Amino acid sequence: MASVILLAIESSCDETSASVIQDGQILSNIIYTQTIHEKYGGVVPESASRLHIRHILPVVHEAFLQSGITKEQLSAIAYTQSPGLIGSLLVGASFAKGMAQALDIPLIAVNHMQAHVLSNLIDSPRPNFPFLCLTVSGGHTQIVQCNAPLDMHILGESIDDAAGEAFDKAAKMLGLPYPGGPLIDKHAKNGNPLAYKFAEPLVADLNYSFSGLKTSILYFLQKEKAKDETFIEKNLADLCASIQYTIIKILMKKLMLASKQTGIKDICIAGGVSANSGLREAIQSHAARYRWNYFIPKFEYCTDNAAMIAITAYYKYLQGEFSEIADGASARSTF
Amino acid sequence: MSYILYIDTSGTDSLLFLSQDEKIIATKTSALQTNHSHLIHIHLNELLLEAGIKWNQIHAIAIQNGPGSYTGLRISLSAAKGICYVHSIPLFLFNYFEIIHYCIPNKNRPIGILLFARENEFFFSAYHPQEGIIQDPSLILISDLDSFIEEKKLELVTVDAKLNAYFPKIELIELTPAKIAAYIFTKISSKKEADLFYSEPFYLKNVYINK
Repeated sequence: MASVILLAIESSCDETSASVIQDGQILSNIIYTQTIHEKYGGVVPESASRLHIRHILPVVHEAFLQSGITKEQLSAIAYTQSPGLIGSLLVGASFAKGMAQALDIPLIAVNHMQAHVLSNLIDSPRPNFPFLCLTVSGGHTQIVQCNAPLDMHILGESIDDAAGEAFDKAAKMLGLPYPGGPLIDKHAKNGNPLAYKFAEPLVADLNYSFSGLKTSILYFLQKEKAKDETFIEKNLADLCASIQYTIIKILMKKLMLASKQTGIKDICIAGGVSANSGLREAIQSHAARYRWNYFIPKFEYCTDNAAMIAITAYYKYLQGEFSEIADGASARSTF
Repeated sequence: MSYILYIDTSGTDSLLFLSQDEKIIATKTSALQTNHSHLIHIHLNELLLEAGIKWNQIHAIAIQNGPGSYTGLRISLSAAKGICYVHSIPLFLFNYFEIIHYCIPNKNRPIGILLFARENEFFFSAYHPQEGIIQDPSLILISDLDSFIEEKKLELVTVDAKLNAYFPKIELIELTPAKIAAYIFTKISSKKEADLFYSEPFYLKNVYINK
């Protein structure tokens, strides 16, 4: 049987990425991260689109060079169809469609959130099916039950802000630059996680909410700063440790409940926040206590990347799940 | 003889055509801006089918690269980059003003070309019959335009009927695919090929952000 060789393109937010995969093995995963947004405290959609069109071809070309694969060897081209910033998605989708029609090969449209879950299938050891995946990023927080590569459903998700958004917005309140999540993680290592107590949500089922926590942090800081203007400066490590501890406690509580309700003990994490050292430690300690088999992707597969689009596209290719050239990108969608 | 593919998704109406030298052999249009990203690829396939040629027979792709809808401009340029990359086809970028100027019937007079940007903001360029371009394409406020028009004695021209509401005397001209094809063919031999890897739309407007 001939090799299945795919090019995958990811452009849903502020990373332009391309990956080449051969028979399920990632050969390259090039990521260009847009840093311009740091000075604005969040992603500026129009700037993101402009940078995608500037960098998409150099990134794709580098992915081919690193893989040793030529364009003519491709079996199909995959792209992130949804969800994401529509202007950014359209650049990747239009480029992928142009290449696919010029090569006369099929297109594969991939859901970004499904791809985050399947990033756990890129490297060994891989989880057994069914497994649970906690996907945590700046835009999404979901607990997903995955029964097979293309058979998954959402058990619970955030009804308002995402966990990553809570990290970044809390960091902004503390005066830390964007993206603040990694800086909270860094300062938390030197602080006391039980120094301050913040509100925890009471949300039904396996859903999450982080907007109340955000408000709780805001009011607490306003109150303390009124008494002492240098409160944050003096207590930054304890504040970071307490905020991180609370967010992770909220995340783990529902993940434990999901495992208990489903009886599934193969547990994965995915998404940008899975790079957080506190979350990784929490997964490890819970795994030891509850006899979970836990799986965490390599760092380059945690943040937005095309390798996760490529692995998802590989399974779609095997199932013959191709998309039409007229299929459009979409800002919102579920799987 | 060479095949040239032209793509314009910069506005509400899209225009795609395939020409053999300056002669158009197939045309596709659409009047629904929200469908440009879907239709452009269908139309590209139909153009080639109608002309009975394959991608590797295309000699050049020409894009109307702005100013216009930012998303529309990126749709055509992204698609063109993908196609050109596969078959090493040269890409040529044309700004809207140069195409419009070529299509103006009587050019023996100072001309100001105006395009709508948003309320009270216009994209503007000016030409003199002897001096050539006297105002490079730029974004201009309606309040800054009057003195320039008077000083240079410009006659205003546009392709957008909306501008009648702002400038009652403005001359509305029609761009036909045949005229555009003639211009592209005339210019393509002397025009510099675009940098396929890093080329961007001719936005003519920066992103302004309030922190």
